[in-house]
Amino acid sequence: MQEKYLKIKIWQLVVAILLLYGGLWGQNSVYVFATTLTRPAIMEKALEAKLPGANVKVFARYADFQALVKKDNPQVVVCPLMAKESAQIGGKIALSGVTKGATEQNLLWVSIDEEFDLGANPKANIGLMDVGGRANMRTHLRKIAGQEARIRLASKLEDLLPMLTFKSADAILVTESDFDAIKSRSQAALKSKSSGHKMNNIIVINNGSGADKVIAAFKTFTKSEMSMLGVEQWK
Amino acid sequence: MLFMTTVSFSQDKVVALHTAGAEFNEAFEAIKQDLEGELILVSKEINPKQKWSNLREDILKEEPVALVIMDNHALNLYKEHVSNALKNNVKPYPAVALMALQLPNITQGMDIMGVSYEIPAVTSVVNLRAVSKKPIKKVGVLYRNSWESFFKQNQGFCKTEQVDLIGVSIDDKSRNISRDINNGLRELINRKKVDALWVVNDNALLNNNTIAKNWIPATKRAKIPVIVGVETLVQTKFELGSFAVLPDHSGLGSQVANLLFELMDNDWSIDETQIDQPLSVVKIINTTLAKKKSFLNESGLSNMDKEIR
Repeated sequence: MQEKYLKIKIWQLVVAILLLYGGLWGQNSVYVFATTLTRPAIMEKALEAKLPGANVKVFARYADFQALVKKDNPQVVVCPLMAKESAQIGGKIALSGVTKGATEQNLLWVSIDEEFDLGANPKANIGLMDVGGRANMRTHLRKIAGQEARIRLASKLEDLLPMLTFKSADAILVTESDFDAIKSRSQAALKSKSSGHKMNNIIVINNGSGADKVIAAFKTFTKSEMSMLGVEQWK
Repeated sequence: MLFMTTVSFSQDKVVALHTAGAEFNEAFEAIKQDLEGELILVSKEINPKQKWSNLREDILKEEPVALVIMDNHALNLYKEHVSNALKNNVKPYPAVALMALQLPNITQGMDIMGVSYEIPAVTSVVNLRAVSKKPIKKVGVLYRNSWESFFKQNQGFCKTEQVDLIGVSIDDKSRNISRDINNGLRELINRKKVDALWVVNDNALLNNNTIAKNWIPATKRAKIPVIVGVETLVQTKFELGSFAVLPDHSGLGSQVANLLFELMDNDWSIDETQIDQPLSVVKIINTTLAKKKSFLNESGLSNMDKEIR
């Protein structure tokens, strides 16, 4: 009788632990906004496999990301630092993406056929990936290219190449890894040169209780899973 | 003592003329989202029988700084407005157009901005290359004489990406369109040996009759990718399109929002017609046909928006 009672108690305990464990994962929302060529649905599937039970949402456009982060206040947010600041996301930076040994990358001017010369064309149309909304991106561009530069925003990384092909931008301003991604798709005579400015890599933000377990899981990502997020490792 | 004061910032309004439909809603929502905080976008649904005179009062009430024109019917209404305004020595509303077919041709000489609805060949080819293990250097296209400037423009864009766009033109007044399509496809596939075919959305060349009678039989055995611009044509049962590239309506909306901001920066004045090419697209691959034609590069599938089997 006592043995049967004990067995029931052990089972109750196991169920309770499973519910608690499942609940912790289940309660966690992970929102990701990354500038890569991987489709959001594919990235979502890969992240869900790594973070079972977590509610993972991947956004291709900053506007969608910003609106839902504000509304849902997810426990874990993965995005460029600029998006964190622009969307006013609280929380602590738990992990910073590293490429070539640094948590920031050079920003490059990329053009077709001829190297871009800002001095000769201060009113140039510059294509940028939108990672912070129009007003913030304009301020960011003006700091780098001066007050007269005109902004052309792309909502997806892959939209920057057509800006050059169709000459709607004189140059695009991208990170080294974004340039590598664009180059892998194009056979155009792309020219790049340093802008002399840098931009932070993607970060993982601890934005609420229960986020630690998910953040720990991010540290177990393989090389290909990291490259999907546009970085090589975490710091 | 503290006094609470209310400061109100009035935002300018932009009225969007559009017909009903999911694609219009998608584009409208994207424009609205991107304008948020700076401009107010007001929806004005129109029906195919509507005239500008029926709309005039409603639009005047909104006092917009600009209009968004969301298809060919809305563009006709806008043309009516421009003509009336000029007759009465009034400045017409500046406008940004999208989702209208042949926009560059039908807006010539108008003070309008916009984004073309047709996807350029180069965009389709660059995206096809990402999912093809065969090199794509020569791409064939059939087009009517009246589309010559469209072809030339696309040929120029393709050159940037080291792609040779080879065209066979068909007389607009052809007495036997079926025969001309067959001959044209034979010329491109057998003689020019193109690496892929790009099928343009021209009803005269691409309709139920020619699809069944000419396009499917002529391309079925050819081991080359066929790029189409309509989702229906990429279905396995038709055995025609193995790759489809369609407009991304949300992306079009964002592009139009950018043009509205440019217009705002220019004090709502348009110096000359500016019709941009669409930047965002939706890519659909038929993996069954791509495998059958031996060109599928599976590592490129992560870039595709949709896979059809």
